Amino acid sequence: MNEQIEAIRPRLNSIQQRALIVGVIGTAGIVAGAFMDSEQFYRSYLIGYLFWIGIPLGSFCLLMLHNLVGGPWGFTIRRLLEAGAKSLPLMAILFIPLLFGTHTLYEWTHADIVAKDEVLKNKEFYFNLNFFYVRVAIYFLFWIGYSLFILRMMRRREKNGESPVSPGLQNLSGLGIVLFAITITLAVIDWAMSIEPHWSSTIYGLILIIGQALLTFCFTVIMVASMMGMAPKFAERIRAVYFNDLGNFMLAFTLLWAYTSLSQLIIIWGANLPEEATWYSVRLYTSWKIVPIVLFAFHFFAPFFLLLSRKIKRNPKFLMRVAMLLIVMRLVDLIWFIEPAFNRTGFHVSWMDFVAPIGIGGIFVYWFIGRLKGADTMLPVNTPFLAQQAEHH
Amino acid sequence: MNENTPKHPIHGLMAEFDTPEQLAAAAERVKNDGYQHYDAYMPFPVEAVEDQMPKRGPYLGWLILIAGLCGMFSGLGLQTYIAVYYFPMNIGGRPNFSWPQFIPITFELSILFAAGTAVFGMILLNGLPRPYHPVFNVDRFERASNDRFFICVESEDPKFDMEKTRDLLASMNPLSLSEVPY
Amino acid sequence: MERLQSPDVRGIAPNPPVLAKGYTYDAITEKISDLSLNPKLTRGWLGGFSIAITLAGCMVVAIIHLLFTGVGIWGNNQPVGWAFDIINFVWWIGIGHAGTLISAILLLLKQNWRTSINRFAEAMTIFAVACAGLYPLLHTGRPWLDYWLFPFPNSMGVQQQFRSPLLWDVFAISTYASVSALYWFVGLIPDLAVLRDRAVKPVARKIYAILALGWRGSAQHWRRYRIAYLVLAGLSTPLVLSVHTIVSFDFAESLIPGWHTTIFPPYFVAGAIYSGFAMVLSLCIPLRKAYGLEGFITARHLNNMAKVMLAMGLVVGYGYAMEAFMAWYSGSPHEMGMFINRTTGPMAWSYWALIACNIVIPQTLWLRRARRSTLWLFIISIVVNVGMWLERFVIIVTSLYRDFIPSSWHTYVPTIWDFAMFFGTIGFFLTLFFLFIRYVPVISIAEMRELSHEVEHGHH
Repeated sequence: MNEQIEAIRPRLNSIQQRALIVGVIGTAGIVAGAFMDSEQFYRSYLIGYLFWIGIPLGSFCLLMLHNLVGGPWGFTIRRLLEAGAKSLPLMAILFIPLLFGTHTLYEWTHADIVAKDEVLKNKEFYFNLNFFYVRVAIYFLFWIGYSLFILRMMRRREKNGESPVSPGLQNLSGLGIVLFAITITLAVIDWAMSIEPHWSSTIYGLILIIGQALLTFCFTVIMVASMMGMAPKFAERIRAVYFNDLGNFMLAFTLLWAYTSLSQLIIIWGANLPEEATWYSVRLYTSWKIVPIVLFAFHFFAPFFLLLSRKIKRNPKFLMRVAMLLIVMRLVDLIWFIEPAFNRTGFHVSWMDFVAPIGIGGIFVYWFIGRLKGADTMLPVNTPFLAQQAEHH
Repeated sequence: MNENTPKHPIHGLMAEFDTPEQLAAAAERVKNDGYQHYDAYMPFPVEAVEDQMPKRGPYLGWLILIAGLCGMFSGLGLQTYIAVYYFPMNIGGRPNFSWPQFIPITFELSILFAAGTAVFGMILLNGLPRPYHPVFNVDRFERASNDRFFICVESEDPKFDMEKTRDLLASMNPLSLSEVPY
Repeated sequence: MERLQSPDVRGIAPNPPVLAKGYTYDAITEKISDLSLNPKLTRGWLGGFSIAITLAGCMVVAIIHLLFTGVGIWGNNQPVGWAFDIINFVWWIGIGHAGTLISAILLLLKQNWRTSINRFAEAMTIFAVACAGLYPLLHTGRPWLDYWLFPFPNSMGVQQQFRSPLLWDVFAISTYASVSALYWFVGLIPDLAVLRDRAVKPVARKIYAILALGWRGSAQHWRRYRIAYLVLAGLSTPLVLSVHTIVSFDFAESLIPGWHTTIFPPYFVAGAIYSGFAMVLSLCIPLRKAYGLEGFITARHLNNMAKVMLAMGLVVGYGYAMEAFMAWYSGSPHEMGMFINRTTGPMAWSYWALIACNIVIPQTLWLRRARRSTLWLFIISIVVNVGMWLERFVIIVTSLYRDFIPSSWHTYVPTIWDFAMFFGTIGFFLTLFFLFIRYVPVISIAEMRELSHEVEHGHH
C-alpha cells in the first residue's frame, strides 16, 4: 500500500549528493566573496537566508494549519512538510554568519549615528546588540522547541494508530500559528525591516509571511512532482486532484501576495509622507523600477493566469514549472526588498545575490533530504485519507 | 423551431425517472442512439447527466473573460481620460496619471462587467425568460422541480420516430412516458 | 443512508453531519418551500416584525428630520467630522461581507456545510449593504444630488477626483451591491421555479412564475448555470476583499495618526468577516429554533462558524498588536501620542471594552464545550457584534477628537438622532429579514437536494 522510503533511498542519496556538491561550491563562492567584498557578502547572505528560512517556517505553519482544516492535500505532502520543519535547527546554525554582519547591515548598531538621531535613540532599548542576540535566541528556541513538541505529538498519534488530530492537538496548532505569526513578524522586523530603521509598515510582516507560505507550496510541489518519478507506488496515490489543490493554494497565495503588496503601495504612495515614501521612491523611481515591472509580470500576472487553468494545475510537470517561476520571483522580490536599502541611487545586483541563495540552498536541500530519509514511509500511515482511498478502489 | 409547419403534431416524447443515475443512463442511451435534439430536466444539476447532453461550446466563459477585460480597460480609460485630459487637478503635487490610485476602480469595474455578463449571459444564452415551453404541458412535469428526473426527445430530431423513439424510452423502464403536446 | 455522515478526512469522530438523516428530495422541497408557501402567522414572527418595523419607522422619522434640517442634527462636528454615520456604514458593510464569504469562498473551498446557510447569509448581505449605503448617501447633506458622485458629462465644468478613496468607495459599494443582488437572484431562480410549481394561490403562482423566468431545469441550462454560479463565486471572493480594503483605504490613505497604517486592508477584511459571522450566528440560532431547521443547520455549522470567528478574532488581534507596536516603532510622536491617548485618555473605556469584546471573551471558543453550547455562541455573537462596532468607534472617534493642535480638541457626544438612525437601520434590516423568511425559501432547495444526493452517494 504505502511505499517505504527504503525503496527510493538510492535516488534520494543521489539528489542529496548533488545538493551537497552545489552547496559546497556555492559556499566556497560566497566565502571567496566575503573576502573580496564583505559588505556585499552580508547583504547577499541575508537575502539567501531570508529566502530559505521561509521553507522550514512555512512548512511547520502549514502542518499546523492542516491539523486545523484537514484535507487530503496535507496528507500527501505531510512527510515533506515534516522534513521542512525539522530543518529549523539547520537554519539556526546558518544564522551564525549574520551575527558577525550586524555592523554592516544595521545602521542602529552605529553608536555615533544613534547618538545624533532622535528616532533611533528612542528605539535604543530595543535595537541594541545584546537584546538583538537575546531575541534571535528566543525565536530559534521557541521555533525549534515548539515544532519538535508538535511533531512528536503527531508522530505518536501516527504510531499508535490514532486519528491524526485530537482536539488538544488542534488547540495547540491554533495557538502555534498565532505564536509563529507573532515571532516571525518580529523576526523579519529585526532582520529585514530594521536595515532601514526610520521606515516602518505594519503590513510588512504579513507580506513576508505570505511569501514564505507561497514559497513553501512551490517547493513542496516541486519535491512531490520530482519524487513521483522515483517512487511508482507513491505516484499511484497522488491524484491529479491533490495537485489541483496545491495549485489552488499557490494561486491563493500569489493573489494574497499581490493584494498585500499593492495595499502597502497604494497606502504609502497615496499618503506620500516623507518618512515612508522614500522606501518606494528608491524602489520605484530609480532604475530599480525594472524589478517591480518584472514582479508584476511574473510574480502576479503570468502565474495568475496560468494557475487559473485546471489543465495546468492537474499536470505535475506544468505545475512544477509554474512553481519554479514563482520560486525565482520570491528571490527577486526579496532582493528588491533588501538591496535598494544599500544602493539608493539605482539598480545594483551582485553575483553574490544569486550565489548565496544557491549555496545556502544546496546545504538546505542536503539537510532536508536527510530528514526525509529519516521517515519510514512516503505517506503518513493510519490516516483516514488512505482508508478512504482504499474504499474507492 | 418553425411553429407554422411542425413535422410532428407533438413537441416530443418524455420519460420520467426516479433517480439521477437512471436519467444519466437514459441520456447516454439516447445519445448513443444518435439523437441530437433531446434535453434532460432535473431538480438539481447532475454532472453525469450534463455530460450526456449534445455538446455545446464553452461559450459563456469566454464572454465573461472578454467582458472583464472590457471593464478593466473602461475603468482605466475613464480615469485616465478624466484625470489627465478632461479635468486635470493638482492634488498635493501628485502626478495626473496616478496609476496606483487608479487600481481600485479599474478592479471594481472589471468585476462588475464580468459578473453582469455571467448572469445576463447565462440567462440569455439559456433562452430565458421564456414563460411558455411545451414541456410544461405535461402534468407530471411539475415534479421536475421537485424529485423527478425527465428526458425529452424532441420531434425536431431527424431520427425522431413515434414508434421507435417510444420503444427506446419504454425499454428504460421509466416511471411514466408521455407525449409532449405543443 | 448509513453514509449520510460525510466522510471526514480528518477523522475526528463523531462529527455531526451537515444534513440530518432521512431527508428525501421531496421532503426537502416540502419542508423548505412550505415555510414560504404556507407561512403561519406565528406570534413570534408578528412580535418580531412589529418591533422591527417600529424601529424602521424611527429611521424614517430620523431621515425626514435630517432632510429638512441638515446633518447638524448629528453629533459630529470638527474635529470629529466622521462619527456614527461612518461607524455604522463600516459596521454594516462588514456584516454584509460574511454573507458573500459563506456563499462564495466556502463554495470554492468545496465546504458543503455552507449549503444550509448560504441563502440567508446572502440575503443578510444585501440588507446590510442597503443599510450601509444609507449613511454616506445621507451624510453628503443633500442626498438628492448624490448622482453627482458618478462621473458623467455635465455642464458644471467639474469632474471627479479619482485619487480619493471616497470615490473608490462609490464604485466599490455600488459594484458590491449589484453583484450581491445578482448572485442572490441567480441562486434563487431554481427555487422560484419550485415555488411556482407548488404555489396554490394564483397570484403567488403568477409572481413566482415571472420571477422564475420560465426556468425548467433543463440539463443544458444547468450546465451554464453552474458555470455562471462558479464564476460569480470566483469574482465575489476578490470583490468582497476589495470592498473592505477600499473602505479601509478611506482611513489609511489619510494622514491621521491611528488611520494611516498599512495593516488596515487585511485587518479590516478580517474584522468584516469576524462581525459578519457573528451576525450570521445571531440570526441563525434563533431562526433554526423558531422554524425547526435543526436538521439543516446542525451543530456542525455552528461549530464551524465559531471556529472561523475565533480565527478571525485572532487576525484582528494581530492587527491591534501591530498597530500598537508600530506606533512605538515608527518613532512618530503623533502616532505614539494617539496610541497613549487611545489607551489611557478620556475615551479609553471604549478601547478596553473593544479589547474585552473582540479579543478576551471570544477566547472561550477554544473550548469545545463553548462551541457546542448554542446559548453561549449566541451570547458571544452578540458580544462580537458590539465589539466590532466599538472597534470602528475607537478607530474613528479616538483618532479624531484630539487633533494635531490641542486648541481644537473637542470631545464627541452623539445626539438622539444618531441613535435613532442607528437603531432605525437595525430595525430596517430586521424588517427586510422578517419579510425574507416569510416569502423566500430560507435555504436553497436545489442545493440541498444536491447535498443530499452527494452525502447519500458519498462522493464529493
